[in-house]
Parts: sequence; structure tokens; C-alpha cells
Amino acid sequence: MEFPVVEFPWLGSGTVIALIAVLHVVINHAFAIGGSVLMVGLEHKGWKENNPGLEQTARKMSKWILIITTTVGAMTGVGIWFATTVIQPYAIGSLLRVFFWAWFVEWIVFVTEVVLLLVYFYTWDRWTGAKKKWHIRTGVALSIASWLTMTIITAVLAAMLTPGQWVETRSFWDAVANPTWLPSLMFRTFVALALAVALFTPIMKMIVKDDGLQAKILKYFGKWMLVSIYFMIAFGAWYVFSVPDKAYSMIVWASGLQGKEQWFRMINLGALAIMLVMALWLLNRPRKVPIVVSALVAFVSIGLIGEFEMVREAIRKPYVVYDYMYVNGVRVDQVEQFKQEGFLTNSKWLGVSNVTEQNRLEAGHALYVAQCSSCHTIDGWRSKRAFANRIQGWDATQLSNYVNSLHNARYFMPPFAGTDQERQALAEYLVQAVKETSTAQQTAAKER
Amino acid sequence: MLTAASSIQLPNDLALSIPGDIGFFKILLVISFILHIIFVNLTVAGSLLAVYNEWRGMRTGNPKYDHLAEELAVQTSIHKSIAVVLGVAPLLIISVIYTRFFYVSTLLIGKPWLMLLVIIIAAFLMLYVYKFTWNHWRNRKGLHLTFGIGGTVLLLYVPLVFLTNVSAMLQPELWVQGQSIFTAFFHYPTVWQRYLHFLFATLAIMGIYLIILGNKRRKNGQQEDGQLFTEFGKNVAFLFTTLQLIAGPVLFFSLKGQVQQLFLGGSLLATALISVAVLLAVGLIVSLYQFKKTEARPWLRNVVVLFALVVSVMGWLRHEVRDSYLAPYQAESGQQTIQGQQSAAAESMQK
Repeated sequence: MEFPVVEFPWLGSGTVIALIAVLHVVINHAFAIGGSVLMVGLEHKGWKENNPGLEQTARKMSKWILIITTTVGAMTGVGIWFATTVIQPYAIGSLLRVFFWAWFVEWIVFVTEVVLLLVYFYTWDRWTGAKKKWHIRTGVALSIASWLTMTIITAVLAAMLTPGQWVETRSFWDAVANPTWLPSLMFRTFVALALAVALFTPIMKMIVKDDGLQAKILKYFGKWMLVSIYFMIAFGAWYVFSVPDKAYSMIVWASGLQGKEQWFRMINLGALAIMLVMALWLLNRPRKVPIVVSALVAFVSIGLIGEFEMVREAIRKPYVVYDYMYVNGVRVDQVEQFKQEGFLTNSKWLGVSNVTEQNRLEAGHALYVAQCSSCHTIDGWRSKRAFANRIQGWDATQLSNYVNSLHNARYFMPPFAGTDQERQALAEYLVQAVKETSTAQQTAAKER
Repeated sequence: MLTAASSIQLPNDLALSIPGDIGFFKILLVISFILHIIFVNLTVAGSLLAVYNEWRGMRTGNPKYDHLAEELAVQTSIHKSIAVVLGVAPLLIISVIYTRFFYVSTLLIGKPWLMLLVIIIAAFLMLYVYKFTWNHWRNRKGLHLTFGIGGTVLLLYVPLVFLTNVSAMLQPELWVQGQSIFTAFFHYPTVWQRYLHFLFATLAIMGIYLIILGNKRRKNGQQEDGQLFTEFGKNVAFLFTTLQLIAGPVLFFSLKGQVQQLFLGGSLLATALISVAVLLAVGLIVSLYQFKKTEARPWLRNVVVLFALVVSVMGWLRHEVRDSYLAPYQAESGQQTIQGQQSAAAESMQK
């Protein structure tokens, strides 16, 4: 392999990306995409019905949308890119090449989006009266631009799970028009709207003091939410049925509820049901929706989108780009070569180029860092991925044999890409590292 | 774990080819980087000068400084949003055409690189507080200024990490694994010189921006504001453009000997570029001086035109420096996709 490896020993590399990405998705979907639609919708409604209260609310929303999207929103977006460069350089490097022109267009759309947002925010006082329609049009254009940014990036994200024809043709358009792009884009569109209503409802309940105005706003939100939930379910179903069979079969496992399918169903259907209940409630008795319920729905929706992103990432295993590259950056077509020639001889930056009697543990560590640490830790907060937990009590021979057939025993694991000798060194290192960790833990426990 | 720099571990390129003409990509890189860096300059200098003027207003009791500071804070909050999104294209292109260099230099400072996200978010949020509480905290100036200073200090840190990355990507012979970011600041020989050049440029560009803004305000009938901006802008622009006569050579003579040679007659293109850049810069300084004295419109026009030219030529020059550094590595074996597609510019540099 070609690049230095950056390790996150306790947190785990995946968690670093996930934290940034989920935060970004929540902000982008709820504030930039869904939020813009609600904001401009309220402004338009206020203008049509000559209701300055609605316009004032839209204006307040625009301030918070501006502040949040141009700070945490924008920087976590760049952040996914930064984090994947540090953690998955082979994957992001390859995707940048496949999707270069899409990304370039994305740049233009980003700039357009930000300029429109700035124009929209700074022209509230100037574009009134006869010019009001220009303000509203700017808002509509902003909503479209925000949605377009998602349209492009969703193509990349979908292609990682379902690259489709691209794997053979290497054609840009095959990568873009991949099998899950459209369903996932449509699904996300309505997720964004539902999420925006879910997050803005408690805020409205807090900041809009006038009861009549609040009712009007919430009722309007209720309409959006009801429509969004229906479409979200429909497109969600289309999406789920378009993912590869093996990925589909891993959904429950990926949610962490393996063997508890009942729970999985209950939790997710329950979450949808409570959203639906609130939508109907908003529509019919907007003022009666308790703030606790709206806060709960906000919380549940963030949970759902977080779960969705985590599941989507997990069911792609063992790949980072399906059928092309494994999650540790090893390409499918490299595995045989590494098995024959050795992984370490073909790697830079690891400080070890082959296994000798003297460097077995060091070589094993290098192999662990390069091939395992993108998902696993020795010790860490995700106990299922921490070796200290997973392989405690194993001996090196057992482990080495297991690693040899790992990808058969567990479909979501990539094959070990190295010689038998390297595999043995890796096993020895892991056993040793786990031993050291548990000794350290015992000592710490005694001292306590 | 420190790995010796003696054996250069230059990666092979990725297996997928670069989707287009590299020469064209380089043109896009130069243009998009210039756009990005101008807004970065306006952001950093805007917050720095806002804080400076608010402090000056507090010290002298003259409300005009406070007013100028507030205007600068508003401008900064706009510029920073544009600066971020404009950065997408240059980051994209540099990642794609210099993968072997840029990915290693990034990964060598992986965690500090990621920390930039937290630092920039904190800086931006602090600067929003700074901007939106200007009237609210009229009687709590100390607290208010603290937010401005906090945001500015964080912003001033960010370029150091970026400059370390772009300096490191040019010198694979110096790559070291396991270094702290603070060691890295001093490990690569051009970081601080670049930083100084950047800081002066930042302030000079803000000065010129204020001159233009002041002129616009005057046209709109806001005489007082216009006068205030122009007055401050022209002094800042003149001072820091002139100081580049020091910072420029300091940076130039910190470059690697072979690269310096190219710009001192070794390569026609490089030598011509740097000569033109220096001439344009001197022209800009003279124009700024004349404008400072007379505030005459023709000089303002000269300032604007020469400024645009200086920035363009400097942006190009910077790219030629990069390709001069990388040329020996680009020619090395192990290069799979870039080889043979070298841009005409880079090749002509070596002739």
C-alpha cells in the first residue's frame, strides 16, 4: 500500500467519519434543504396572505439557517472529505477521479448556493414591496441549489454501494446513473423535508409567541410532514429493494439488532408512527401538540437518519466501493498479488518490508494498522470491533487459521491480503496486544 | 515512531486514470485557487482589522473606528462563507493531479488536519457572535472584543497548517512520519516565509478592497463612510504592499537552490514570470502611493488593474514553483498515469 496510516486507537476510524458525517447530514437535510423550503414557503404564504408575522418567522429562520449552514454545515461537509482523505485515502482518491467532473460542477453549485443564501439574507429590508417577488424567487432558487448539491453528492454515495456497470465499463455516466442514485435521492429529498419539520417544530413552539401565528405555521408544517412521510416510505422501499441482495440481508445485522428482528421492526415502525401521529396532530390541532412530543419527534428523527446512515455504510461491507475496493483500501484485484508476493513488500510507510524472526510483532502490528484499523481497534468503545473483546483467549494458530477463512465465515469481512507468514505474524501480534490490554485493564481494576 | 527520511517513500499513483488533460487541470487549479485565496485573505484580514479598529475605538473613544470595525465584521462574515465553498475546486484538483504528493503530506499531519474543522467552526461561530452582538454588547466591550480576538487568533492558525501541508507536498525528501504539527511548522524550510508573505498579502488585499468599497459608498452618496474606508484602506494597502518587498525576497531565498536558479535565468518562463511579477508589484506600489497622495481616479484605476495583474501572475508563479519542486519526482519511475502527460509548462521549466 502507498500511504501512511493515521490511527484512531480508541475511537476507531469509522467513528470519526460517522460523527462528522451524521452531523453534516442532519444539518444539511434539516436546515439547508428542508429548512430552505419551509422558510421560503412561509415567506410566500405571508406575502400572499398579507401576514407579516409569517414573513418575520421566515426571516428569523433565515438567520439561523445562515449561521448554522455556513459554519457547522459547510465545515462538516468539507469535514467528510478531510476525514475520508485521512482515513480512506484510496477510496476517496479513486472516487474523486471517477466523479471529478461531477465534483467540479458541485463546486459551482456550492458557490451558487452560498451566494443565494447571502443575497436572500441581506436583502430582507431592501427587496420589499414590488421587489418582494425577487426575494421569494431568490429563496426558491436557493432551495433548488441546496437540493442540487445533494443530487450530485448522492450519486457518489450511491455508487459506492451500487457501482453497477461502472465496475466493467469505468464510464463516468455509468457511475453517476447507478442503480440506487434515483431512489436514494428521492428518499433523501423527503427525509430532508420531514426532518426539517421535526427539528423546526419545537423551535417554533418556543419562539413564536402569538398563538394564532403559531397555529398557522404548525399547520403548514403538518402538511409538509404528512406528504413527506408518505413519499419517504415509498421511495425508501424502492431504495431498499434496489440494494444488492447480500447488502439487503445485512440490514438488521447492521442496525445492531441481529437476532432481534422483532425489535428492529418495532423500533423503526414505532418511530415512523410517532412522526405520522405528529403530522396529523399538527394538521388538525396545531396548538395542542405538546412541546415534549415535538421534541421527542425531533430526537427520534435524528435517531432515524443516524441509523439509516450507519446501516447504509455497514451493509456495503466488505467493500468501500462495491466489487472494486475493500473497506481497508485493498483493491479486489490486488488480493492475489499480495497473497503471492507479500503485503509488506508491496507497502510503503509501514516501517517493515518483510517478516523476519526478529520483527514478527512489529510486522504484525504493521499488518494490523494497514488491513484492520480502518474498522477495528485493539481496545475501544465499540466493543464488537475491539479485539480485546473479540479474540480474548484465542491463541495465535487458532487466530491465524480463522483469519485465513475469515471472509468465508463472515461475508462482511474482506479477505486477508498477504502471505501465510504475514498472517501468522498478524495473529501473533493481535494475541500479544490483546494480552497486554487485558493485563493493563486488570492492573487498573486492582488499583481502583 | 519516527521513520527516517533517508528513504523517500513516494507512493505509486492510484490505479484509476486522471479524467482529463493535466495541463487544463492546472489552469483550473491556478484560477480556482486565486478565487479561493482572495476570499480567504478578505476573511482573515477582515477579522484582524475589525478587532484592531474596535480596540482603537475603545482606546481613543472615537466612534468612527468602532463603526469601521463593525462594517469589517459584517463583511468578514460574508467573505468567510464564500471562501470555504470556493476552496472546494482547488482542493479537488490538487487531490486529483498531485495525489502521490498531497495525500502523503496530508496524512503526515492527519490529526492536526482534521482538527482544522473544529478550529474553523469555532472561529466562525465566534465571529458570528462578534458580529451579531455589536449593538447588544455596547456596554460590554471587553467581552465583545474577546470573541473577535478569539475568532481571529483561530483563523490566523489555520493558514499555518495549510502552508505546512503545501510545503511538505513539495519536498518528499524531507518527509518524516510521527512528527507533531508544531515540529512540522519548523521542519519544512518555507513555512514561515510563506506565512509572512501570506499575512502581508492578506492585509494589502483588504486595504485595496476597502479603497474600492469606499469609492462605491461615496458614489452611493455615503460620503462619510466612503471617506473612512478609503482613508484606512489606502494606508493599509500601501504599507503592506510595500512590505512585500521584504517578504517576497525572504520567501524566494528560502526556496530550494535549484528552484531559485530556474527563476534567476535557469528557465525563460520562470525568469520572465518573476520579473513581470516584480515589475507589476512595483507599479502597484507606485500607484498606491500616488493614490494615497492625490486620491485621483486614474490612480485608483491603475491600482485596481495592477492589483488584478499582480494577483494573477503571483498565482501562476506559485504554481510554477510547485511544478519546479516536483519535476524531478514526476520524472521518476513508479509514475503510472501522470508520466507522459506532464504539462508543457512543467517541461519548459526544465529546459
